[in-house]
Amino acid sequence: MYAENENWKPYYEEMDPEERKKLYEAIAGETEDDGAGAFRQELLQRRYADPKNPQRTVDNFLWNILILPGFLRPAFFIKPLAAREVKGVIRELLLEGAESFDEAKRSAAYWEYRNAARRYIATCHGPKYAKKVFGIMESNDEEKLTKTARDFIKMTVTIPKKFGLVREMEIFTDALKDEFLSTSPEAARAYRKASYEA
Amino acid sequence: MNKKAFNFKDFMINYGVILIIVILVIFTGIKSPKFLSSSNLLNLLLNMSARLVIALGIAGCVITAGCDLSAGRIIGLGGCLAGILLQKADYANRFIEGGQPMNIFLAAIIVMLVCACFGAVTGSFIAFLSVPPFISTLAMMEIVYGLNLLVTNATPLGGYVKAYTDLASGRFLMIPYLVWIAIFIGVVSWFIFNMTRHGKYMYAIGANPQAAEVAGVPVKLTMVMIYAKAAAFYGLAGFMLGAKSGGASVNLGLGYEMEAIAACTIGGVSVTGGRGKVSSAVIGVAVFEFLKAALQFLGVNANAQWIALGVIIYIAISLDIRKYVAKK
Repeated sequence: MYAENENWKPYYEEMDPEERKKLYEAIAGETEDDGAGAFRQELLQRRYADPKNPQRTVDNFLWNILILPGFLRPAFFIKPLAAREVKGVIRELLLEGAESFDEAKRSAAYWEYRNAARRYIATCHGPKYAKKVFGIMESNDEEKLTKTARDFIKMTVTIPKKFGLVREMEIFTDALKDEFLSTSPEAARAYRKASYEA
Repeated sequence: MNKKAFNFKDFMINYGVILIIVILVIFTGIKSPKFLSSSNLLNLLLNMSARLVIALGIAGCVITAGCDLSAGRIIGLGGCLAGILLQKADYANRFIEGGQPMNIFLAAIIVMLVCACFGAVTGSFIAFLSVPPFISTLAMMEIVYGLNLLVTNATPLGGYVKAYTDLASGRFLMIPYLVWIAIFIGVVSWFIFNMTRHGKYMYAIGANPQAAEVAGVPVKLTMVMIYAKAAAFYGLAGFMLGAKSGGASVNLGLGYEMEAIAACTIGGVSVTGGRGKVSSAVIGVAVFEFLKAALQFLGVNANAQWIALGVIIYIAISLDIRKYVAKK
């Protein structure tokens, strides 16, 4: 469904922003445009550029993955506010009009989101993640995996359904789900369990 | 994904404490009709006001998977500082001889700024030196207490200007000024939590601090700001409590931090971080104050009430941990 262009494989496997920028320049210079060249560059710029401070290194896609589960937090009376925020995330991820993307654009977006999801998952194993009791106790690996799986269920299932954005968010949710499930069989089990609990 | 069936066990884990206290309140209301009288409810609101301000400060720290044990002592500092600035010029035991009382709004701002400085120091230790919040705020609790003892020489302060004590007795639209202040702080907090970048940073740090850092969130600065803002709120609470009691001593606010943490937890601010709303603090504080009042109306020994409050804290935090621990 989302074809992987072999030329761009190293670019989507790399997680360091500076290395990715170099790889982008190199691959884009050496290969023919697959029809998503301009969009891929737009994704790269949108992801790492801070419009207010160009010197600052940011990861806007990671930021949006991080804040997305929080939009289930507001009380019902500010649901329209949360819906506006989720639509803001869709804009930030360049997902507006994603239903009409051609195959090349869909694939470029999908692999970029998978890369962002991989970077997010990489932060979910550290000692600071999922601390308990006022940050005093560290969670074990199973607890960390459970928390990550619950967040991924919120991002890939609960939020798109709740805000009626299943189609708009499809590429993003597919990417996140596929990346999480590919990490380990335990992750796949935790995802199924979290799905059942939700 | 099927629609989730009602699960009594989950419901009790989430709302059990609130439910029990609501039943207790209804029972007390039936047994003693005065309990639900307008004067008693207004009195409850008055008692809630300063505690809500404290809880809203602590909520920010708890959302980032931290806590603030220095709250009580900073409240004492705020109360004493307000007392020093707002004593009558002709008061016999005036702390600063020959001085003039300050404008109460200016005094409130100074109190909040001084307290915010202590909070910023605590936040800096947490953010830059990775000192766990529990230890950092414990240390600040002792430092602030010591400083307050040194400054006031452990002497209670009194003889406040009328404008200051009127803050507790005065009303607008039948509601005490102190309650209006708490409402104002509640609205400001709601705005900060939900509508600002800082609020999003706060939740992001609570949810996954490492991801927040990688995403470009100024984690250290945000942590300093959270603890500074919290301390400013404690200072304001000390200012409010000083006005309410007409005096202050270094022990003003002692133990309030535990009540505030418990209130936040009862209301739904998770001690694991990343979860919590302004309404959580409001519900928690209300539930806690209603519980205390109900126990009084039921004639429970005043000393025994501490045991009941301790049990509630124990249950609330145990249930909160239970909520988010992976089921094995």
